[in-house]
Amino acid sequence: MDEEERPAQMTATSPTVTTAWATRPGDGDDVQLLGQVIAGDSAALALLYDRYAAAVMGLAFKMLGDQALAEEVTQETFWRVWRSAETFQSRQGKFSSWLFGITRNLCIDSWRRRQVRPQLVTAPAAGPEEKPLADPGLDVAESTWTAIKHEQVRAALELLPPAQRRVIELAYFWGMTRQEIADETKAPLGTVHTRARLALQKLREALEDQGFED
Amino acid sequence: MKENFKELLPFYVLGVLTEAEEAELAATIATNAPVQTELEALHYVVAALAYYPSPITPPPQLKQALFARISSEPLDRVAALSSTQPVRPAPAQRWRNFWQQLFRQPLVPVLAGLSLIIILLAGLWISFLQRQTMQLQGALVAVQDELASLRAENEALQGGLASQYEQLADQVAVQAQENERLKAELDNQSQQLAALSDELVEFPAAKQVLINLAQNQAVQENNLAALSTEIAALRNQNVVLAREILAQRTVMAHATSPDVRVMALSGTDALPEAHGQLFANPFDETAALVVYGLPPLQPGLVYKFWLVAGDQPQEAGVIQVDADGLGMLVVTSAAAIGTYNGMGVSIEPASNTNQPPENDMIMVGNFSS
Repeated sequence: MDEEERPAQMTATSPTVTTAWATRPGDGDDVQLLGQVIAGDSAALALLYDRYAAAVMGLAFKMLGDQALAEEVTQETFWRVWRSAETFQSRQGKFSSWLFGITRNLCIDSWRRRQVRPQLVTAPAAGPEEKPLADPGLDVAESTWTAIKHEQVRAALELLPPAQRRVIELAYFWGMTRQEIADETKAPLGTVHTRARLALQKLREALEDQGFED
Repeated sequence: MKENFKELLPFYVLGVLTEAEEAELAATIATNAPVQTELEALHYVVAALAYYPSPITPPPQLKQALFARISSEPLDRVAALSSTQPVRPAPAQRWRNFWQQLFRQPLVPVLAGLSLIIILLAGLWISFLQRQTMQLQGALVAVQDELASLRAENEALQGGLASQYEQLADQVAVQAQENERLKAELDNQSQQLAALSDELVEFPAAKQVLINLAQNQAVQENNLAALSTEIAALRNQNVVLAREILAQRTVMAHATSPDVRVMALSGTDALPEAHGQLFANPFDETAALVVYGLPPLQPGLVYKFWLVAGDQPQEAGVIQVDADGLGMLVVTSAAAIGTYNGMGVSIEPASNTNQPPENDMIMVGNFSS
């Protein structure tokens, strides 16, 4: 298994992340598992599910605001991985990017089917986030890694000015086009461009400082 | 593309461009290597965004339902792989004939039906047992894998824990040394503080001593100043006395000279009590004058001595007079004393020099007498 060590300084700018040393599989391992999935190995899919299901479910709930729909999208995401694993092309990005892209597209399709987009809120009110269901079948180490990544990204996003953070949220979690974001934020299109560019630049620096690795 | 395509890159990786924009930008990116590098960095950021929502552990039923679906709907690609395996042939025609002939016999269909039911039940039971066995075997394998994984993880954690423990022990040792050093420094500081406290207790007495010393010093300085003034006055007095002694010695020298002549001066009506003598050798240009009964003058005025040639008085010096009215002067003349025919004393402004007398003579003398 291709493993790599995590440096200790990843905790320096993320006070909520306290794991100083740990190891986890890299993207190369994801691709290897995907190869086994293509060969019909459902156990390999189970490993990928354990690794990413919580993040996929969290993303789906964030975009849909409904637990039942989020579960439906989560199952459909991994079903599509099972059915269409051979369509993944590693030169176009990492497996996780491809996986989360499937989830986002399914959420956007869900909005279109229901002809509704959930209310724009920064954080959902009371929901599964506050009472996560424990699945004894999930890998504890993977769950811990997902939680660490969540803390790293949350800390990085909180460093952004609110206007820049909002542009990123509207685009990524609500799929808004540039013009829709300009209308929603009542800002000129050029300002939206600048905010998006600066936000991604700052996020990149913050994530690299924390040693974030996808 | 109307806009700077770099401005659209963030929205490209965020996946919110229109299809036309995305297609146009993709064509631009394909031929621009630096932009491709920039895109990789942006993909790194956007991929991370999926972790921003709090992770939510799906319910166990979701996973079970997913894998049940996978089991019930085999993949086409897997089916395609399976299709390459040999297919069992269909039953032979003779077997169909055999069954048809057999079922034409009396009671055979009933027995056969009962037998078939029994066989079916037994088959179902065996199938059930086999599925149970397979499930248990699968669960056992999963548990064994999980156990191996946990063991490996446990070993890794123990290794990490041991390393951290060693680091912690090292840190504790360093801290202990630092603690000892700080303790020694603290003791030293405490001792210095105690010494300072003792000195502080003695401070009022020392302060009083210093005040007294300062006062004494001031008194001594005042005394010294007074003595300095007195010394200066005495020095001035010495200078005057020395000058007087010199004058007296000069007068004495003239008075005791064998060729000396004594010529008298008398006070005029303005100062009748004044009188004096000029001790002089008529052939010398020097002489000694002694006068008595001259009162003190107001500031700015002096007694001047005049030698008279014909009727022209010539200034011959300023007479120094003491508090008793005694005045002396060593006279230096331009010509031998014997060439003059008279002398006198007048009161003149001190500022007048080489000028004829402004006032009348208060003392006069005649050399012919």
